[in-house]
Amino acid sequence: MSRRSIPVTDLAAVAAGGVAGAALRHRLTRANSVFAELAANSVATQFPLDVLVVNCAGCLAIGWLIHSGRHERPTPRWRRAAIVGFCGSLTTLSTFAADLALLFGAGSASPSLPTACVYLLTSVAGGAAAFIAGRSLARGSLRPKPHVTT
Amino acid sequence: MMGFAMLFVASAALATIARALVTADQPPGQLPTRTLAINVAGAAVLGLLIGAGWNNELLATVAVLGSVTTFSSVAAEAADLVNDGKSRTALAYVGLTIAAAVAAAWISILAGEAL
Repeated sequence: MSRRSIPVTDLAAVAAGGVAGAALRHRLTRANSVFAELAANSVATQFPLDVLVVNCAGCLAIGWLIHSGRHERPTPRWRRAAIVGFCGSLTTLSTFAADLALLFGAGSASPSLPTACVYLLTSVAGGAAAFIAGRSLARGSLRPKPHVTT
Repeated sequence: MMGFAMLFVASAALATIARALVTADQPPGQLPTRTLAINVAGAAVLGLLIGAGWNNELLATVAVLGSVTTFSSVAAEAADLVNDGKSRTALAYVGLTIAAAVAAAWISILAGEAL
């Protein structure tokens, strides 16, 4: 075993956050990704809206989490659990990549290029926009209220 | 049902810990190669499962692979790079992550179908 860079108690918190994120993702996406559709023997042309939603939600959350709270302090355990654990496991790149490959016609899947392109663009733009929105939300709520002195 | 829930919790926990450990001491201000590697590897394994048509195993595996790989960290790491004034690296990172992961999934779907 290589040197441990995260304390065991933090790892436990991260794992708990990860289980919560994965469970939520599983609830929201279990039957609707492209390969689930293929598994049901239908043609893969459906837009993977559910995966897009969890990925954007995770980007919104991580943007907010990273930019809220105090930066000068060491990362508290709950932040690590929320950022690395919950957001990390709520979002997925493996399903995103596999769905995209299938929509582009990987293997014996019938390609659906318009859907593939729209999915790619909305995922990247949506993820970036959601992250920026989360960040602005955190910064806005952190800004001290102006004291009106007369 | 209980068995699946327990398997799900255990595998999601282990997968998250694995990702946390692998990405923990990633040097800041550079291309996040650890996250990139873990994302590409996860996409490759999922592609293999899809190609081989192991549909019954798929839903359970989604817990593990979905928790190993991450989309939100990519966004956060790219934003960090932009903040460091390394917009080009950020752009390369996002492009490389998507291209490599889709290519890995594509190849392993083909490999899985050939199994």
